[in-house]
Amino acid sequence: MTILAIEDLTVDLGGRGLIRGIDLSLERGKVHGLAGESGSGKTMTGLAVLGLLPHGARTGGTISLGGTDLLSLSPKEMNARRGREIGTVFQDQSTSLHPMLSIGRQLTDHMRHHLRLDRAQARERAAELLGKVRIPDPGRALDRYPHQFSGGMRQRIAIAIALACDPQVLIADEPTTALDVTVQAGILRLLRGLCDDLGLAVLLVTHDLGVMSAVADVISVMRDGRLVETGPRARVMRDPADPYTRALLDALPGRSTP
Amino acid sequence: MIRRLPETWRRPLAVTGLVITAAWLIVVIAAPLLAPYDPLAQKFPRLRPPGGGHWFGTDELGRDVFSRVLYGARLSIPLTLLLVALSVVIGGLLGACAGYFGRWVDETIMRVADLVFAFPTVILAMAVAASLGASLRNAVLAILVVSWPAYARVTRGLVLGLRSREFVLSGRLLGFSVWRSLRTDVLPNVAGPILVLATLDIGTQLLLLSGLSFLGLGAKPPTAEWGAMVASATQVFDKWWVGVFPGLAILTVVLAFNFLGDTMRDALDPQTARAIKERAL
Amino acid sequence: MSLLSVEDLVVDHRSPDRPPVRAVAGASLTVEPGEVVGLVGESGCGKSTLARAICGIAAPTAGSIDFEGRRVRPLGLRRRDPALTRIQMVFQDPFASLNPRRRVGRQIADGIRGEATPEELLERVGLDAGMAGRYPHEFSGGQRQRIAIARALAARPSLLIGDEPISALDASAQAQIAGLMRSLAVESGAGLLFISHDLSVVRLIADRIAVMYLGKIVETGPTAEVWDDPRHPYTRALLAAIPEPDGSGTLPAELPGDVPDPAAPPSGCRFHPRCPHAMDVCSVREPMPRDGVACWLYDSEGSAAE
Repeated sequence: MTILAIEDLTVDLGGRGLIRGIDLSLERGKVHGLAGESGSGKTMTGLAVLGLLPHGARTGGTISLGGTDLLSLSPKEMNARRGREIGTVFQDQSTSLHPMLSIGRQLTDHMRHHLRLDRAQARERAAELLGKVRIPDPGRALDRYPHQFSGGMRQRIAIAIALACDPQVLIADEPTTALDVTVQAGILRLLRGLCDDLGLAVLLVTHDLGVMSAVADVISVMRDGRLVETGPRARVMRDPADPYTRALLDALPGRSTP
Repeated sequence: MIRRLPETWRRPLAVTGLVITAAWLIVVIAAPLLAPYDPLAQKFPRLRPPGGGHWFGTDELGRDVFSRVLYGARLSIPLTLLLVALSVVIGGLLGACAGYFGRWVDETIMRVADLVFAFPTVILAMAVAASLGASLRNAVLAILVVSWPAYARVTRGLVLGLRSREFVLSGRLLGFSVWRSLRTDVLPNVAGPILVLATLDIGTQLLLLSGLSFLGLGAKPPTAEWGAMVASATQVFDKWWVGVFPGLAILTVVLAFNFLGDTMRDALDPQTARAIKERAL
Repeated sequence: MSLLSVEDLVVDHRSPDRPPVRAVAGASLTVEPGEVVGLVGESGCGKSTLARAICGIAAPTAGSIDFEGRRVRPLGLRRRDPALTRIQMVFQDPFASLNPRRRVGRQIADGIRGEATPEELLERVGLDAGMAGRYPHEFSGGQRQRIAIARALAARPSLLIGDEPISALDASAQAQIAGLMRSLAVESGAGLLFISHDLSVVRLIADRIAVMYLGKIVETGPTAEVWDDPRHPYTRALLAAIPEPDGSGTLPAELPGDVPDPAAPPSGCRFHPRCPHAMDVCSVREPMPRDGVACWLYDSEGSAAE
């Protein structure tokens, strides 16, 4: 079932077309991977969904979520939707968590604002969320600060915050790029598990084709603001239709040697 | 002509600063040509208000205020620029050594700097000037003594940051001596922020110089120096033109250099410069 | 005699107000002329500190580093011993590797011994000779890294060390730069110590691999052997965690737990709290490297204690 549909999205900034007409849909319980090199527009796509495009960007096309075109909303209306219906996880966990607030506060503030819970309810739910992302000893963890956790743990906390208000959509932009490979494995398993259990519609933006291969159900490849290929993961990675996709796969180390 | 300036310099603040500074520099160079009278000539009717042949009126000794203000620029502005330049060189070199060599070199230099910082700037400058004997030269020396530590401290911080930067390390690995490393890699890269600091400091130094002269610790009469002019004008308060015009001169120069300094800082800081460019798009 | 011989190296990090942290806790490594050794490990394992100690940027606490038969002394206030300028390093951050205020040709010329010219060196690293007059900010990350390599090569090093030289580059540039470093080193007979957390790239260019964990080298061996038949449990976990871009949707295996704080390492074998094959002896005594692997599973002395 389609939860979010992007139709003919265009984004212009300062006369340059950053996204030049793309179509993409996010399905319930499925991970849609968006691949491409830097400058392809893949991060911009996530920002467009979130309403966080840079100052001066102009958009065209539609992004429909629950019957509303997100691009037509005012900043205030978008604020209300952003935390509640769309969760986000970014690459750099050292800057996406507030360094001076306990993680309990960071989770509960968010929830109390959107879900109107009282302190006790919010705290209970926060502990539950931390359990879901497998942070050990969630009760005590609530009172700790981000710097007391490792990089991988902080990313799990960021995921917990993203899921706090039970969003339907999760945008993950290079969520594991800054992490060690063994830590990354844990996060990828977590993301896949959460997507399956909670029926999330996930947009996973990454340049790492290995990550794509492990977690994505559908893959779209972007280049210079356009989509060059979309299809099921196995098909796109084993038998790419587009020469650019083929080139990306061939450029992988070890790929050209059988 | 404004069109040819880079983006960050086209803002009203920057243009104003540039225009005023340029105007005063012209005065510094061409005062003898622009001034209608000899600044020291006491031959005019005393305490006349602005008007007639005297745009700024005459002072208590019958001298033309306008000419004195123009000639005052020739004194204050070059002297201040010299002062700042010397502070930068002395403070910068000491700070660079402190930052690069560390240990006892750092300790020694910074403790001396701390000693200076412990005193209120103006009071210390006054004390040094007074003990050296009141003269313009000694006032400059006194201000130098109180100004170099700020540059030392900033330079030290910048150098500490640069010392472990990869390109500095690779220079050492290639066989650079520490002196070559300092000269080639470190100092050129601290120049930017120091330049901004120095420009913003010009205003402060001018005020300090004028202040010392105002207190009688700097320029001696009959020299036409703005601070001294304001001082003697306090005797004739109701004759506002005697003190206001030199005061305005100080004000405009300080403001102009502050504007320049602010603009330079914005231009050199990559984030701010980018934000300004984007706003203009 | 090896080109580079590191023995039982210990390097402590000192920070004010805190006890020193042992970043490298006894590591031994060799590099032969013309050989590419890949040093891999995750954050906090000490590989960068090891690299810096080898070229003298970090001072060792114990152990020895011998280069071409002579002891490597840390960089101090004196000029670098000319013999030691034959060790050169390429750093991770291409934006901090070059002096922003000098033209690249001049920076390359700094290192030149003999008759080479900056233009020739630029061409050797795949850049246009005409670019010698430009400033660093006019180049991309990948190009800057090539320039940094040219600068290091100018000194005709017999040991080139790359400290995560490709990590900050775009995926497409990574394999290229790694390959470039390999070919330049090998064709000049120099040794290359290539440090990276990216195993796929190291697999492509290294003749031998050394795996580091929490300050110690746990396994070394020829690349193909280590890849096909990893012996140390950490090496196995590391390789199993790499997601294969084969379109199969297989999730990589997870290694539970966190890397311990280097200031408080586990007793005995440092990996034992996370090791699926931990035995009693593992928490008591540290295994010594034997035949390229430091693990009680392969050390009969340890299993005899069972």
